[in-house]
Amino acid sequence: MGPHYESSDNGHAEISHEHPAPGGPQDRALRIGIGGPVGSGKTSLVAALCTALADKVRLGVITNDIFTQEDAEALRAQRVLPPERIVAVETGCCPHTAIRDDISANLDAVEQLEGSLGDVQLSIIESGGDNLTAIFSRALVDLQVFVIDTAGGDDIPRKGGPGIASADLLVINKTDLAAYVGADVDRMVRDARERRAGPVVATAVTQPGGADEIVAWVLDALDSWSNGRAA
Amino acid sequence: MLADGRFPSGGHAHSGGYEPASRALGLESARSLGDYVQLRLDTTGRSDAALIAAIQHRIHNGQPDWPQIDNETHARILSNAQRETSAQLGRYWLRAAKRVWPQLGPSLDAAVVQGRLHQVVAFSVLGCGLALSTQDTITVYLHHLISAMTTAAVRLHGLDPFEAQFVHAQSLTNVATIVTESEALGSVDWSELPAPSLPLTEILAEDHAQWETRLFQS
Repeated sequence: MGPHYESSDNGHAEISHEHPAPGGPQDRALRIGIGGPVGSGKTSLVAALCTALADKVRLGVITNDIFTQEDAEALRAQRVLPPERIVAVETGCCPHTAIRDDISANLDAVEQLEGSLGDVQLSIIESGGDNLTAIFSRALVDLQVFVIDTAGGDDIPRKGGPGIASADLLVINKTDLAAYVGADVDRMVRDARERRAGPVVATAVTQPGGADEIVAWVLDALDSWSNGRAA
Repeated sequence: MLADGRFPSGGHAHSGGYEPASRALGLESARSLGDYVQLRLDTTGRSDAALIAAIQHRIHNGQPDWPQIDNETHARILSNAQRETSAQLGRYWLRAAKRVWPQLGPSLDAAVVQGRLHQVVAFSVLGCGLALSTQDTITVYLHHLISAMTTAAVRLHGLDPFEAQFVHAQSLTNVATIVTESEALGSVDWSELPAPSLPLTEILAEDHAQWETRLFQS
């Protein structure tokens, strides 16, 4: 089962400049948040993005962990980026608080990372695993990707919630496992499309080429961001 | 909001040392939480309250020697892990306060010494900028300290939130005493400022920083 991609009616998501980060001039890196439930494949997606983009884009990555710095260490161990480009934020029991209600630690981390490296074009902020309501504050990220997976239950898109409805890109991951867990991917995509106007990608990010459509979306967003900045 | 942890300044990821203490000392009940809150108020609470009085007195006199203030504050935080936490939270307060009260930006920036602004210094400057009395600044600061511990106990042990609030309320008398005692310390020499501490909380903070898995940063 190969990855398939459905774009919104007007093609790719447009980048809104209506909610720039507070105090953040537009000539900074584009900040993309990756959120979604526990185990849906957020870290795998970040690793795939880093692998695909590392030669094209100067990256910085912030991971959010509830207990540890495990996700940051996993990314460093995979050598997808130089270790100094990956920073961990500890979220103190509440991952959604750190990306939504009180973004102090994440803002501090992303500003320090961008400041110390000096060349970052794209900052990826990975949320700790949370629930369907956990979205990023628009004061922290410019765009957000919400990752769910077939093994989490094919009724998840129907349940909706802020993550599914409002993320700039929805990824339905682990399509390669759908047959084993009795999940109907077409139904998931259909339900997701009913809940949201933005693009939906159904794929398996750990499979060869599985992240290609998401990489293309990110590059497109980065291009729009750069053009918006120049304008 | 400044006092009860709802002000978004990064405090939610910290337990005020409660997480390591609860494991090392077996604290799980409201009573043991109350004992720990009392212990922290009598050590860190008194030390920080005295610092706030001293810093605000020097601001009001128009003679804040920021490098010395930074040094004196740094010297009273004995563990490296706690120093890092204090500087990190100070940075968060700086960002949050500048966002909410941009007019306070210059006075807050002036207190940053070689990139470092300890939380208690940030709070002192903020209190002056908002025209809070030293009494009120200390009160707010101590409630902030207490709520870090009480909310952590709720999250870590599922402690009844009302019991946690009760512990907080019970500490009011102690807070009032510290405020009264500290208020008069503004004009004393740095060397005479009380700085009570325990080896235990500092050792636990150092140990906690090395834990492989923890729910709170400090």
